Amino acid sequence: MSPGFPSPPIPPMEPVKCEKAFDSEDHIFQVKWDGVRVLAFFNGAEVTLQNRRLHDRTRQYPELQSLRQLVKHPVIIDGEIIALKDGNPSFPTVMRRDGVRSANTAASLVKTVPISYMVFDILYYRNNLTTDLPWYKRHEILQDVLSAMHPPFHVVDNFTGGLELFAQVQRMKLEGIVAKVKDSRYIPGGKSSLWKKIKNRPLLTCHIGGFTRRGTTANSLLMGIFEQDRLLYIGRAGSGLREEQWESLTRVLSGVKTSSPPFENPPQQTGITWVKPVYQAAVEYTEWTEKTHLRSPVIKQIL
Amino acid sequence: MRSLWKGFLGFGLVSIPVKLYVATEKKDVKFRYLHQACMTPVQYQKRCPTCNKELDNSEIVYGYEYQKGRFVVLSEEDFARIPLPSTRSVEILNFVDLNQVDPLYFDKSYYLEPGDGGSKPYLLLLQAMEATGKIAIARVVIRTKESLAAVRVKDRVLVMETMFFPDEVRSYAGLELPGDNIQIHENESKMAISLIENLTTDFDPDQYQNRYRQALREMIEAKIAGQEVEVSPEAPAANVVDLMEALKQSVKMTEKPRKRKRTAKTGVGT
Repeated sequence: MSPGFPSPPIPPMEPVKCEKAFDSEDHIFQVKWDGVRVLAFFNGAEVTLQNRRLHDRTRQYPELQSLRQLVKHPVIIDGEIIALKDGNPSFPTVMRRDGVRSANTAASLVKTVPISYMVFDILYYRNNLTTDLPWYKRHEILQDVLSAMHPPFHVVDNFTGGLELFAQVQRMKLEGIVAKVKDSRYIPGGKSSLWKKIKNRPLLTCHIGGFTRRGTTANSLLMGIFEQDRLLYIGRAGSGLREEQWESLTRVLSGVKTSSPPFENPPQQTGITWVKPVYQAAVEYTEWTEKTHLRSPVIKQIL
Repeated sequence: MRSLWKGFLGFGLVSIPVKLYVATEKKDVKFRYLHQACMTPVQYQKRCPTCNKELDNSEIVYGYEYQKGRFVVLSEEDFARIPLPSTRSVEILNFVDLNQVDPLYFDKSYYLEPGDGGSKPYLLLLQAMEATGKIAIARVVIRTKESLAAVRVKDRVLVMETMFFPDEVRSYAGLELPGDNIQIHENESKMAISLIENLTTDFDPDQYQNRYRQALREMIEAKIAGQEVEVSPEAPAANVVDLMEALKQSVKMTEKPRKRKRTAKTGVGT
């Protein structure tokens, strides 16, 4: 235990939104990994975890206790916990870990829902806060502290070209990029323009599990994604289709009606026609809400 | 804490509304039986070996075995017909001195809380019992069973101990106990008494812990922790690396990945 070690929680530094990707000599660019923001505190004896909303998450991610073996000195590191599904980070998948209350369940999910901790900053090292050091200094320390590869810990990569990285992130359907001023300090709790996020509008293939109607025609779709064998409700999408598309979709979906909701967590709402989740739709959205629903989804295509 | 039932504490002509709470709880570590091969919790079925079928609860009745293999059947109505003077009450019969009641008789402990309008008579009884130093012997019905009980004052609450009836307490007549033929020297006796005096303290329940349960819990925690350590599945970890590699291949990095100077030595950062 180190005297003067800051105790959690510390509100993390957050980026401001930026509409367009850019190039800049003063910035470095990182992938914005889509998961749960977590600060890890190692005081020399124990590892505690804390999320963006300052809640304790120590119990949920027991594998990050291995930080104790990785570093010799007290540290506070900042990063994003992600879980992959079909090779890409999936927010609903990591949420299966994040909501767990019991230590037993958390321990069993370590194996079935593996996570990675994408570390991008360091706030404390040995006996000192590093928050007033410029970003590039902090990153040097971070690379020293987590020098070799130790899954689930991964130090994120830094790129010079924002436009180039954003294009690649779009191709790979990742969440977006973050631009950071090279000599900026870490401002806890600050939404600072020293960090800028540029978000991709990701496309997600969802299963259709129900619809609502206006008159006789469907006017919104209830979307779900499969997490293992369970269909998870992730929200309702009502824009993106033309009237004649809704009409033909209504006919198609009426053929697969079912009496009970196909979702594990069906919305508490009346007037829904449930369907077997055999049809899929590609849906564009801005981000995930806290409840693991899609924010402003737009239907791009019925598959 | 949820009350077990609401009823009345009868004391002469007074009837005090009370709520009954269980005062103690077992904290044993619970285990489930698993099928070793697939780790599925084992299910229990009620089966009839004669008809060779699984039974529904509605097909099951109570039987009293009065002779080996011979039963009389009791139905719900039969049970309902048994005359019980008090279905939800604690009827005080007498008051006695606590030290006259052997702890052997005590079974389970309950707290009594005054119900609506019961506060004053409750306090009156409590204070009167405190002043006289007596405890009450009562007849109580909990669920469908009648038992004997002792009601006593503990701090500011009335505590009820259900008691075994005398015919439920076994006799020690069959045990081989030391008789009068054994001689004990005065010095031996003095030694034993002084040992007792040396070990005498005030009773402080907090100083006693269940060491077995503690050790068991520690072992379970260690096993859970052990599962964490053996984990770090190769494939998914590699996937993140793949993803990071794919990005690196197509986009320029700020610098060449740093030489991993310390990995050769320990593989651990400083």
